[in-house]
Amino acid sequence: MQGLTWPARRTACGATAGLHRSRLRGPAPEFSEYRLYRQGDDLRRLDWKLLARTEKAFLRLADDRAVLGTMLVVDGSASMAFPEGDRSKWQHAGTLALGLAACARNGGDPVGLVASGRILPLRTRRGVLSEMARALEAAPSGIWRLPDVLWPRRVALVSDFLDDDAVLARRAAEHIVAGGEVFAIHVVAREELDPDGTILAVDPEHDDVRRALGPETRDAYRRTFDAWRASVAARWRGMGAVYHETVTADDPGTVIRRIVRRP
Amino acid sequence: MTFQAIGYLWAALLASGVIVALHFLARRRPRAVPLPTARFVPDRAVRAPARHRRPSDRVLLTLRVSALLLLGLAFARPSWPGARQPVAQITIGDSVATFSAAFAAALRASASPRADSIALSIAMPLTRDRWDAATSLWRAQWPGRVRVVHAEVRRRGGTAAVIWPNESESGELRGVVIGDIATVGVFGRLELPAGTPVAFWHDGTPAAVEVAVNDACVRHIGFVPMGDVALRPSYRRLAERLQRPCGEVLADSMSLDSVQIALLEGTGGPAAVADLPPAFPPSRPPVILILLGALALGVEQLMRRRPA
Repeated sequence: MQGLTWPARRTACGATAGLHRSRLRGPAPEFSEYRLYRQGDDLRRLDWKLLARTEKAFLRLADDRAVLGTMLVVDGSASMAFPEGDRSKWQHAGTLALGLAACARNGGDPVGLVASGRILPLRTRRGVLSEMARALEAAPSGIWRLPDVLWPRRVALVSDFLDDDAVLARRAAEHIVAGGEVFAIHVVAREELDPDGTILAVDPEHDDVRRALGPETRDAYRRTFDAWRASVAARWRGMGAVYHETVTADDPGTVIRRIVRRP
Repeated sequence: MTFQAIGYLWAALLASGVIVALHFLARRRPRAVPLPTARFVPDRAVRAPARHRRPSDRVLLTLRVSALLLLGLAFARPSWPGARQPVAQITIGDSVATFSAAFAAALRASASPRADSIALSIAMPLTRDRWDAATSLWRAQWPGRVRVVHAEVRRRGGTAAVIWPNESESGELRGVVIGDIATVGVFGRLELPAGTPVAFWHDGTPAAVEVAVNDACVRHIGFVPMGDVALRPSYRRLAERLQRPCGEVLADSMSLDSVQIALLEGTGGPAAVADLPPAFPPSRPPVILILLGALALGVEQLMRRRPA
């Protein structure tokens, strides 16, 4: 992810100087426009040369640049542990979260993480990525609630969205309305798209859901699963979130580049 | 190898055939695999019928068939051919209290000899005190003719020295019978030397024996009355009977009549082993081992059965 940044889709709002365009106008060196002096303005921002030439007081304005706090939330529910081994949804989601954090960190943005019951608050220090990597080494523990106070301007939710968490969706919608950015990254296992053979499928989160999946039911399963994924995409996009679907077999670098691409 | 109830073996073979057929036609339960998206699978029957060229789960099939065959084998009561003789001889001596006990002992003994038929001889005093209400029923259980030998009660008339035991450490509720006298109470029981029984315990074993010494005899008493048993009239009569001269202890009993003796003797030849009732043969160790093996295989197949 070296040299790759994650540009903001909207103007940022913050006092700390950063990479993203800010809603605030400030004393940045990049000139934007003049404005007539109003009582109370900082006299240090007066353009004294223009005042001498025109005998009118103008302030020299410039676009400000701000940082964009980015919180990555990785779903730690039991379904993310599927399939067993190195190609699980949890591993894929963790790799994506770490890559996105690296992109944000390249732009000087503070990054934080919520995963497996651990919350790493927004930080910009050098070792933050290592801390996140260590946090993601733990097995998924099912806790992925993001406290309200920790919703920064940009939130990336990496999940399989099988929990159908209405509270999270409503909070995300409110966040988008308030000017924030929400990325919904839907992780799907390749084995979920095309399960092998005849099996008795058991839902790891609901033991009572045990269904026979074979040649007779495979097509119906695929149709239902496709329709559900389409509905999830429509719901997140409908509320203004940036939705991406990724399969565990995808190359994480390619997926990250697609996500952080400038709009 | 011969079988006393081969029907069980055929039944086990038939059941094994059914089990094998079921393993070929078994509805295969698919293996359980975690799938987070299982909710999108249509909720239909969990089992899918399938016909296979090879039986499913051959180890389980082997265990089941083996358990069934062993069970059938055990119930069929196999016996191994050995040196069989045409006629075996069983002789019941005067060590039992009644004819009923004699026939019961004969039936019990008939399970052991390897023979086609058994000739039974009963050598007892043919007195009425040996004949009880169950004698005719027991006689009906023995299918052949019985050689009845009248064992005369000796009447030597010599002096009898009676050795009464002093005491016993423990007692139980028992019965002692001499001829037409019986008493029930708490008795201590002692070992007796070999001799002619003159008193019997309620189970038919000797309670007192007589050993001849020249013209006299010595009576060894093997029971010790405990508590107030010695004060009872029946016990006192019994003790008085044991004080009589040699050979006269049972002399009061009347002899059987000719009808009773004819009933005891019966008709025909030696009893065929096949006609003997199977209730009395003791359990044979191989049958128990086979049953245990069948049980172990049954438990093993339960352990190996695929989880639901």
